[in-house]
Amino acid sequence: MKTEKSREPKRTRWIFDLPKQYLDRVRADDSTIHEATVDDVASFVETNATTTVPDTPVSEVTPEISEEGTFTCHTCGTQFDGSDEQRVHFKSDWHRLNVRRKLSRRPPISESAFEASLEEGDEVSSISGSDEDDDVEQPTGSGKQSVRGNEQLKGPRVGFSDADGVHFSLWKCVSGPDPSSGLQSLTQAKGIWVILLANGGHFAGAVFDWKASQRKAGMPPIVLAHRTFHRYVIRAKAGGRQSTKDGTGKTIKSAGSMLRRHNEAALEREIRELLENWREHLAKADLLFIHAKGVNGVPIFTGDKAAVRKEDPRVQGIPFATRRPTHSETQRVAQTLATVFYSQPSAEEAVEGKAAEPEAAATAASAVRVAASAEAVKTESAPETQTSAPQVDEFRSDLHVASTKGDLEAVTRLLNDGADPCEKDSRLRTPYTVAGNKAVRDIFRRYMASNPDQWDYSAAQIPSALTEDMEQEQALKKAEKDAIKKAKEKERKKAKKQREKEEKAAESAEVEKDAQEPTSAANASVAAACTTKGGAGAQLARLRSAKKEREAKSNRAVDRERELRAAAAERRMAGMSNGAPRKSRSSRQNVISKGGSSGEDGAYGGERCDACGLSLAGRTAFHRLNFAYCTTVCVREHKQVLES
Amino acid sequence: MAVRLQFENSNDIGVFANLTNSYCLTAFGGSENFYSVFEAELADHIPVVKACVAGTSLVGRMTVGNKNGLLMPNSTTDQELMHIKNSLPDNVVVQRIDERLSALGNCISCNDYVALIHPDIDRETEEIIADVLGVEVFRQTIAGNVLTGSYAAFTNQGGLVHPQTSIEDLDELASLLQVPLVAGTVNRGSDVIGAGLVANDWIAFCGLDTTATELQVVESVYKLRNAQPSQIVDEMRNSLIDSMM
Repeated sequence: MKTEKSREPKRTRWIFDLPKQYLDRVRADDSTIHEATVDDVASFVETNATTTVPDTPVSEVTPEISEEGTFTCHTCGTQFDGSDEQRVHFKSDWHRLNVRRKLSRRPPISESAFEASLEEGDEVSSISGSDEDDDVEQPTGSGKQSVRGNEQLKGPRVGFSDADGVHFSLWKCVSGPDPSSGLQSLTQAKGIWVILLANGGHFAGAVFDWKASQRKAGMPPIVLAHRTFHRYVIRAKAGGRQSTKDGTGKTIKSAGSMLRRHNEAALEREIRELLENWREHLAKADLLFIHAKGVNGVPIFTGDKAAVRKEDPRVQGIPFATRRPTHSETQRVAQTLATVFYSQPSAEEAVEGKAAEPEAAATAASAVRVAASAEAVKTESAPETQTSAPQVDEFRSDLHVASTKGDLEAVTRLLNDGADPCEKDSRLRTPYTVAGNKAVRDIFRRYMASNPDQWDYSAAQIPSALTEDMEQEQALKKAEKDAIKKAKEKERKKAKKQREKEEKAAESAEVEKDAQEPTSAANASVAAACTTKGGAGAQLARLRSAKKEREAKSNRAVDRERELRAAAAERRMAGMSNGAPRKSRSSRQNVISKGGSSGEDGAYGGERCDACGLSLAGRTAFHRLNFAYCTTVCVREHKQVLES
Repeated sequence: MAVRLQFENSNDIGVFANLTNSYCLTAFGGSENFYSVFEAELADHIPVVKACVAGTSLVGRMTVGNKNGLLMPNSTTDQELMHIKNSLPDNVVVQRIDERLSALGNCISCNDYVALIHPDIDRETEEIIADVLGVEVFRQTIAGNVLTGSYAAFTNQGGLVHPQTSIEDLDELASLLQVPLVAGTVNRGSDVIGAGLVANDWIAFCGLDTTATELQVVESVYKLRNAQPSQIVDEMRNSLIDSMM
C-alpha cells in the first residue's frame, strides 16, 4: 500500500489527472459540504501560481543589439532579417509577454523558455490584456488578494479522503449528486465539458475535452470549440436590458433604444445559431456548466428547438463568481471547476465541528494565527511544496470565527475557557462586533454581566452587560407591548365588524326604500307641482344626500325621479295663465297626450323646445325662466319674442 | 503648413481635437475661436465636426481614428454616437468599443496603416482596432511609457515621439511603422506630443506655446512644407505618369 502511495502524485492539480485506481479507493467524508478555508485557498493560489511564467527556470536574456540591422526588437533582444519577420514578431505572444515583463521591470525571457512555459500548461491568453486583473496568479500577491480569492472560491464542495488520510475536496457539481459513486463515474466519463457564460450582452461558450489524447497530465483541457459574442444591449448609464425596460410598458423611441433592441435580437439569433451548430458537442458533453441568469438564459433554454433543456441532469450552475464572459474566463472556469482542493482540517473546522476533544479545546482557547497554522500544517504534510507560497495575512481568533458563524455553543465554550474578547482581528474588529446575530451578542453581554471584572469590556466594544433582571424586564416589557398590540388589533377588528354591520343595515334599508319609491315619487311630484322652485331645489338636495348615502342605488330610480319631476312641472305650466307660446305648447301637449297612451310617458315625450318645438328627449335642455330650449339660438329667439 | 492655436487658454489642443485625413473632430468651446481655426483651414477638404464624448470636451483623448474609421469609448452616449455618425463621411466606420482603458486617444496611436497600442488593451479590442481602422496593430511602449497615444503622434508621412526615446528604439519604431520618426517636443518643451499637436498628411495644429524651432521640426517631420491635399494627388499623378511612360 505504502509503495503505491508514494508512486501516485501527491498534489494533482485537476481531478482528471487523478489515476483511476486512486479514485476507486477514495471515499467521501461524512461532513460532505466544505466551505473553502484559508489553506484551501493557499493551495489553490499555489497551484495557480504556476500559470504565470515562473521566474526561476527562465534563462535570462541580456538584450544584445548589433549596430548593423534596424530590424530589431529591443524588448526581446532579437534581430530579424526583414521587415515582415519583425512585424510577425511584434504580434507574437512572446513579444507581448516580454513587453509586460519589461513594464513590471522583470528581465525578458528567451523564446525557448517561453515555449517551454507554454508546454507546461501555460495559457497564451494570460499574456493578453484581458486577464490583466488576475492578481491572484501573481506569486507576489498580497494577503488582500488572497482574501478576494477566498471569497470567490466559497461554495458547495464535497470532501473526500483517501486511504492515506489525505483530505481533498471537489466542487459538488463536478462530483455529482452521489459523492461516493461520483468519482467512479468520473473515471468512465468522456471528459467533455461545455461552458456557457452569458451576461449583459456578452456571451462566451467553449467546449473542453479533458481526456483528449493530445492532452498530457497537468495540462489544461483541449478546447474543441469556442466562440464569444458581444452586443450592446444594456442601457448606458441607466443599466438593465432594453427588453426589460420595454416590459415595464413605457415605449421609448430613442436612437439608442432602437440600437439596443436590434442588438438584443441579433445576440439572441447568434447564440441560437451557435448552439444549433454545437448540437453534436452538446449531446456528447458529460456536463454543461451554464451561467445565464434571467433573460440571458432565454436564447439557451427557451424556444421550440432549444439546444439545452433546463431539466437536463447534466446542466449545472457555476458555484463561484464568474467575471465578464470571455474565452479566457471560460478556461478559468473549466480549470477551477476541475481543481482538486487539498486540505487538512484546520483550526476553524475544529471549532465548527462539534467534536469537543480536549486538545481541540486547548487550541481553541489560545487564539492562533490561522494562516500561520495553515502554513505549518502544510509544511508538515507536504514539505516539498514551494516556499514561495503567498503569506495569507488574515488574522482572526477562534472567538472571531465562532462569533461570525453564530455558533452559540462555541462562543460560550470559548469565553468560559478564557478566550479574550478584546482581541482584534487583522481589520481591528473585536469578536463582539463581528457577531453574526443578536443571540451571539447577548452571550457576550451575559458573560460581561457574570464576569464584570475579567476583561476590559470597553476595549472589547461590548456596550453593556445583560443581567438576568434586565432580561426579565425586557421580557416583561415585550409581553406588555405585545398585549397592547393585541388589544389594539382586537379593537380595530371589532370596529371594522361594526362598520360592516351598519353598512349592511343601511343597504337593506335602501332596498326597502327603493321598493316604495314609485308611489312616494308620485306623491312627491304632486307636491312639487304645488311648491315653488325653492321647494323643488330642497327636494333635489334631499335626493342628492340620499344618493350619497346609498352607493349601490340603481340609476333607473334616479331617472324615474327626474321624469316625474319634469312631468309635474309641465303640468303646472299647463295650468298657468295663457301666454301665446304657452298656448301653443299646451295644445302641443294635448296632441301628444292624445298620442301617448300613459300620461306619464306622454309628459316625458312631450318635453320640447319652447322656441322651435324640437323634442328635447335625449339631449340636455337649456333653461331660462320656466322654459326649456334645444339650443342657445332658440333661447335668444324666444327671449326676443317674449320681450316683444 | 503648421498652425498654432489654443483652446480656452490651454495649449494641449490634442486633448480637444482629433484630426485625420478624412475628418476632424473638435470640442464644443466657450467661443468659436478654436473651431473656426480648424474650419478656416480644413472646411474645403474634410468635414470639421463639433462633438463631445461622454459629456466632456476631451474629444482628442477619448477617441482615436484614421481615414477609415473612428473608435469611441464605452462611455459615449447614444446621442453623441449618432451625431458623429451622421456628421462623418459614409465610408468612415464609427464604432463604440467596450474597453476598460477608456481614454482611447491616450492608449492608441495610429496612422492609416499602423497602430501602436497600450500593452494592456484587450485582445477583442485589438481585433476591433484592426478591423475598423484597417491597421496592423502592435503592442508597444514609447520610451518606457505605455500611453502610446500620448507620447507619439504620427501620420503617413512621419512622426514625432517622446523626447527621451533612445536612438535604437527610434530606429526600431521607424522600421515597424515604416515612416521616419523624430524625437522632439511641442509647446515649449512638453513631452506629451499627442496632447500637444494634431496632424494629418497635409496640415498640423500645435499649441500656441510651440516655439519656432519646434514648429520647424514639426513641419519637416510631417512633410508639411507646400503640402496641400491637392499636392498629394499631384505627386501621385506625377509618379503614376512617370511609371507609365
